[in-house]
Amino acid sequence: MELGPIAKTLIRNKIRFLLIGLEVSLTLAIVLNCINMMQDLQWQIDRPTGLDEEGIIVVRSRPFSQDFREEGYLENSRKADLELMRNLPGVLAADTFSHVPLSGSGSSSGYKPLGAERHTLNCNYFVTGPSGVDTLGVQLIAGRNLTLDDITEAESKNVLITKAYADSLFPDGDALGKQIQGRTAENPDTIVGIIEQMHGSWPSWPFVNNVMIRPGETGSVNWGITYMVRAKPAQINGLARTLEEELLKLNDGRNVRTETLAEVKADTLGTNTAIIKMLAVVIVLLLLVTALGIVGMTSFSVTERTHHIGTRRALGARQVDIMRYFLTENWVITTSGILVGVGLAYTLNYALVTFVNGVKLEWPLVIYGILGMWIIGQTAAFIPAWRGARISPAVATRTV
Amino acid sequence: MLFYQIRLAFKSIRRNPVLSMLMIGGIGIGIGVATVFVTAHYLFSLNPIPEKSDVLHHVQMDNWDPNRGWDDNDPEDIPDQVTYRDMVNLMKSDIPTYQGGSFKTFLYVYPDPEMGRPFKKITRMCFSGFFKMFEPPFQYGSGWDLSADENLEPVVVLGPEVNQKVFGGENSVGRMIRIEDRDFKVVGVLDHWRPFPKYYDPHNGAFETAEEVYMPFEFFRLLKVRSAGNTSNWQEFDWSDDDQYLASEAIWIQFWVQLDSAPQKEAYFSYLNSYVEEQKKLGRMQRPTHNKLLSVMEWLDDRGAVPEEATSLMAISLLFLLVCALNLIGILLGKFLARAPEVSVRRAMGASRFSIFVEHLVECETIGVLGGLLGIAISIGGLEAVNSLFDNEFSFSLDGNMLVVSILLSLLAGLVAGMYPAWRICTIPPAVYLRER
Repeated sequence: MELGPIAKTLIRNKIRFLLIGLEVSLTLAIVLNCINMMQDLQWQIDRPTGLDEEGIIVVRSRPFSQDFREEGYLENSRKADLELMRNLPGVLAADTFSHVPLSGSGSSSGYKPLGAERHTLNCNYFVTGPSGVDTLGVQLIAGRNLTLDDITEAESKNVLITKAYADSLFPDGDALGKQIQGRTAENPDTIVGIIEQMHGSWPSWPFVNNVMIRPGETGSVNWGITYMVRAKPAQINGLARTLEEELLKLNDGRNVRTETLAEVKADTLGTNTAIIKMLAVVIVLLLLVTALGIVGMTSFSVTERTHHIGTRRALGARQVDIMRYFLTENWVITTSGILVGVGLAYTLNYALVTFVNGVKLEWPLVIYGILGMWIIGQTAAFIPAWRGARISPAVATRTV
Repeated sequence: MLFYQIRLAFKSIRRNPVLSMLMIGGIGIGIGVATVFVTAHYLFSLNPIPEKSDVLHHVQMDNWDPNRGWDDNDPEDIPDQVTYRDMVNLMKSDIPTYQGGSFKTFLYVYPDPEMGRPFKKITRMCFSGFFKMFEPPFQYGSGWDLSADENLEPVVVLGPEVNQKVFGGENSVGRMIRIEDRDFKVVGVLDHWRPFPKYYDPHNGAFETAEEVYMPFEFFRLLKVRSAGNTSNWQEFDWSDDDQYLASEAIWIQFWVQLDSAPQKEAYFSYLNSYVEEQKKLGRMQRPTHNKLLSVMEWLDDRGAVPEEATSLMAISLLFLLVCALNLIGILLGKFLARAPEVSVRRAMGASRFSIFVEHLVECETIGVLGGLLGIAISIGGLEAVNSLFDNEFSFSLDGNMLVVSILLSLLAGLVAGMYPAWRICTIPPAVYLRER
């Protein structure tokens, strides 16, 4: 191997190689942290929410007719709307909801086991009817669903909670049937069912998995009524238009707006998507600049050593040997850069985690980063090295 | 002399167009990317009302649960809005020049049926002081008087969008408009107004648009509306009962005062303290006294108005620029050293080290500035792209300050990248290269 001569060259041109090494290390550090951020943002979009995201239409009815202020009018309108929705072809389930999951808007409260001497734990609650669970598409894994009998005037309610919330309230796993209270012990609620998984209103909230479903009929003259309708994903698009038209036909004293839950989610997580795209552009540009830097540096090495190449070729070195020389030289520099770069990547990550709430860098990503950087380094060095190898000995040894 | 050196620099740049393009392009991309994210960060941290940011003050006090503070993780943090009863009590003070609480909601506006269907619009319930304090620009008319607050006169100020939809954009001052189940008289129409961030109520996103309907605060009772912003509460009571709701510790009002001088501010702060002491005697506010009277920038700072993502992206983009500068050093070094024989001849013929150094540094700066110009072009396009990524929810654009920053960045990049190569070339021993010839 030519490690001896390469080492000599490196020492003689130390500044120039140091620069490229440093460039490689900074690039690796930045790219790894950018990809790490992108993965976290993407994960927030991709992770399962427990909800049938593709099959739900959100319907918002906002009454403006003064008729709605009359006693019982809103309630009758709700009943008629639900009946219409449930009888439309393709509809699997429909109900009213106090808030829409993944929408960025919701209500939270704190609960603890009845009588427990500790702080309450946060959860995001939704008020809905007996068809709520089927409409959301979430799975009951223990206990029973809500029924019409659960909708009472009493302050104490029978409620459903997610397994995640159940486990944090009752670490022994015996939440079903237990009573829970808010700040005071008056009006405790009873857990009658456990839901496998469901995300609440705020996707980036640390307690997004802590969700409670409370029985009730929702809607008011001021805020209107929010419905969700579940159907087979293939029928969603046609159904949204039909719902709007039919509901307005039923009662024209209001505005009706529909959107799919997937649209609601995309809207809430729009910033994530935007930042992912920005980071992708930054990464591509950065790798381009660094690759061009490597091309430039190898080109200089080749030009500078035209004479030397010619001599070696004249003494019997093959084109492959010349190429291998330059590629090895590049590999040595890139690898030193990578070693420093891994350290820099963790340092930068530490700063991001400490100061701006970043996510920890995991080692598999670092391994991929190292492999990628090697490939980029060798590819970028290949063209100038190949050009060097093609120089004919006659030209190379000619005096300038 | 400098002019001559710049001409030399351009000559050198033209001599090797591919290499020069690589250099200018590389540093241009770096400056472009850095300018985009520095600008974004800068716009987030901009003072939304520079003329008055020192005199407008946001009022906070700790009325939270005696057993559990507002924020489990930060005992210094206190509730970020005020209750209805505290607002009513505090507004009895005559210390502030202007004052008033306000909150956001959504109300139905009923245009003439020929103009279109009723529509819901973001509304602010506020006092006359709102317009005096935050000074939104008026197209027609003005805000209402103190007497309209006191006598609960049915008056409204409209935003340009509602005025367009209901009155076709005409001067509608004096005309009537139907909102919910009441008729209101238009007293003013706002011009386009987009406080960024929305400092007077940043609770539902600092980048939310301003309201399109403004009416006297107390109409919330008659219209039976509640806040559509954040409402936080630690007690249990019957929410549907207005009296219980208004007497509760639930916070939902943003309360601001205008204090024009330091003595005025001191007087108000001690008024606030004595008010809280008085409430403690009544059995409320049992937590340690902790009142906040923050100016606009202190308030935004307290809330962390700059999103963390913007800070991360700025840091990353500046590191990116550093990589581009390193890259430029490498290329310049190679380019200059290839010129060693020529420089040797010139040195032998009497050119001083200093003049060689300056000549090369000027060349680096020329490349830096050309890169900077390219970078500005890239950042203009880049900011447009960023705006479209956010559905034009806000409109980032370069301003004078940011142009100066990107020019300075490019000069700095040229200097940082040029120093070492220029120094290397001016210190080469001419004899070595002359002998080789």
